[in-house]
Amino acid sequence: MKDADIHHAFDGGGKRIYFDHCATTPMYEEVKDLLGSWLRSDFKNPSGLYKTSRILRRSLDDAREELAKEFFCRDTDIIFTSGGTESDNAAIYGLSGSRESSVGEGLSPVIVSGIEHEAILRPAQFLGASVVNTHPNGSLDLDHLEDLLKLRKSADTVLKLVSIMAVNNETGVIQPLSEAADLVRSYFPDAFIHSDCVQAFSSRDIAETAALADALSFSAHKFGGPIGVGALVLKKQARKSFIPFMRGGQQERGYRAGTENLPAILGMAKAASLCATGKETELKNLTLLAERLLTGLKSIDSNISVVGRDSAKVAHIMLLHIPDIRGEELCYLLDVEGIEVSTGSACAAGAREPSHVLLSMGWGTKEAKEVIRVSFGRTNTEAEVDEFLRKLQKAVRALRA
Amino acid sequence: MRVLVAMSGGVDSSVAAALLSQAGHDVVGATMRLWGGASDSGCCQVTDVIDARRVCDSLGVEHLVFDMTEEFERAVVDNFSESHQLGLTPNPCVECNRHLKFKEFMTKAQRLGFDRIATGHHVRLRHDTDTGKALLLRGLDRKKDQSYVLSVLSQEMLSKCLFPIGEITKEEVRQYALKMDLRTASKPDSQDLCFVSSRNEAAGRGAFLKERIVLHKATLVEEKTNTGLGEIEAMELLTVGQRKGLSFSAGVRKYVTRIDIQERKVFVGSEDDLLVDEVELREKTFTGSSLAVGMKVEVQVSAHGKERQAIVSDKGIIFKSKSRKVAPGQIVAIYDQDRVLGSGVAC
Repeated sequence: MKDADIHHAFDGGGKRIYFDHCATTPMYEEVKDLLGSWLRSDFKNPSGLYKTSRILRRSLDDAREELAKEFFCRDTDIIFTSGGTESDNAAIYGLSGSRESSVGEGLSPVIVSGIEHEAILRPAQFLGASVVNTHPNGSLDLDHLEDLLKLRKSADTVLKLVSIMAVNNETGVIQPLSEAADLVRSYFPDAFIHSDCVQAFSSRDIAETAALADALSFSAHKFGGPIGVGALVLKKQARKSFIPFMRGGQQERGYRAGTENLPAILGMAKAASLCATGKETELKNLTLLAERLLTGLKSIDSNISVVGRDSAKVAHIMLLHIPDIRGEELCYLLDVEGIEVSTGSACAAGAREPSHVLLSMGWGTKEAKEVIRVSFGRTNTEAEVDEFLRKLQKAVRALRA
Repeated sequence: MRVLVAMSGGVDSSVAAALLSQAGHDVVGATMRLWGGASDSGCCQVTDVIDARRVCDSLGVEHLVFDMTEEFERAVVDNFSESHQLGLTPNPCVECNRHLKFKEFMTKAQRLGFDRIATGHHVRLRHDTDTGKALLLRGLDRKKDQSYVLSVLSQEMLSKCLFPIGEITKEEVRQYALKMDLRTASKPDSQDLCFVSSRNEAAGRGAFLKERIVLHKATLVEEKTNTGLGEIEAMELLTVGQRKGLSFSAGVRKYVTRIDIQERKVFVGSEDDLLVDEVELREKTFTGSSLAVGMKVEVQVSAHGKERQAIVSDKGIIFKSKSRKVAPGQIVAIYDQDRVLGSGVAC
């Protein structure tokens, strides 16, 4: 494919309706400008000993300080990574103790919730971690968490790490992190609590989460920044126990080797600050859009329901269950109509698999394939919601025919 | 027409998509993810999906992937295991066509607004102007003909299909793929039993079934004399007509003539003991209308077997001359020369 073809495909972007902001968000114009000018310049390695390098070094440190404000932590807590997946992997491998002590007989020193992103679940499962059950309403089962804690206490084993995401990226359900943290610390005061905030940062105020977790993961492209950059926040105590995942040079004080992706990091800092500044107003708008969608849905098909609607959730992430309609088929018909939504996660072959989040909530595989996820972002409008409702009605009718 | 082409990632379906696209149809390619279900240890053939996608990219058509692992597990894999448990010899490829490609995939295509589906099978379709019916014919390339595995299709299914590959030879398919610079041009033909992953199919099949069904020892019995000849392992893995895997002293050739699952007996005999006059059929299907008793036909009892002369009877078919027994569970495809009339399952 030629560059021109790719640009041509995106020229129609204005006409297409993008309701998949949980997958990625459009970059802020200011971030595009900033990245563009950096990529056009002859930049140096920020670790160099000369003047031009020192200037870059200073930009890097400025960005770190700027981000510390938005992530409610100290600048020294921030470790730049290649994105959410790396941050999550680094947290799981890095805070669970040595790998030898994690794998094998007995109770795992790691506990994670069953609705975590695969970037937490897969490494955790690789280490044999225990997985907390999920309530049918989409939030983690605190009673089961307590059972897992008691089990370890009575067996006199260590617990190193508990990882619970702040906002689920498929349902938008806000997890009871504060209650979970209290529970964990009442049994194991020294255990670390990690929270995947990849979806949360743009979706709600994260001050409370940031205050009670020892480690947090972030990803820039989920809040209007570039793809391929993220951060792992490690508070002091967590840092002391952290076993680096990427070893090499002394960048990021040895916590994460590799030449810093400076333009992307600066873009992330800019995006974080823009996102945080506009967040309150933005979320109000998105909630209104969500309400408009929900009202409209009722008149299309009373059987359509929003997963986790009885739980505390962010309004603008909606997993819609449409009985007897395959999500992949609905997505295809909507795509033909110029509407971009998602369903489930893709396997290596590109097929849509039933969501592990729904399966952990007790859904059957048939029902778990009858969903589409609609997630709004700052560029969406009421007119787009109305257009979506018309197209959805048409597609649902075609599939029910 | 809007055509959804079922693309396995092989050369035949690649060229099918290319030919239809070139003929001016509105083509979309789709690959079914069939295997990778609950009982699989690995994933499906991801590289095949990539091949299909890249062929579509080069043709400038869309490519979709459908997850049909559950349907495949139920209609093909479970059926395969259950048949073996009952001592039958199943045709998983036929079941895959019957339930997956020409049912699930076809109805999916219809729901998504396609007029036709197409596959890369080596068969031909003709339109009977008198009756208005679709006729299913053997592929032009007799060596590659796949009409046997499609003999279970109904008139309704056939009326919604396109089989562009059946009109040319395999050699021409490859030449066309090379000319079009399709990345699948030199890809080897796929093997049967895609879900049993082993180079040695016989051993692979045994290992596969061992995990899914209970295998029993059985007494070997001489068919003619009804005398016991010892014991044999895993009678569920045997097939009527089989000679290999039976250990007898050198020079003695014996074949499985019958398997009695209830009594746990495997009967063996000479090649002559396998000869029969007729075969009873169940689950008969017809590509057009049902067949009149007494009609002269040809039958084929395996994917690339030789056809045998026969006559339609009320129970099934009667061979013109004594013929080798068909293993129970096998599909018997019925032809009038090149035309597929229907099929049945051997009792």
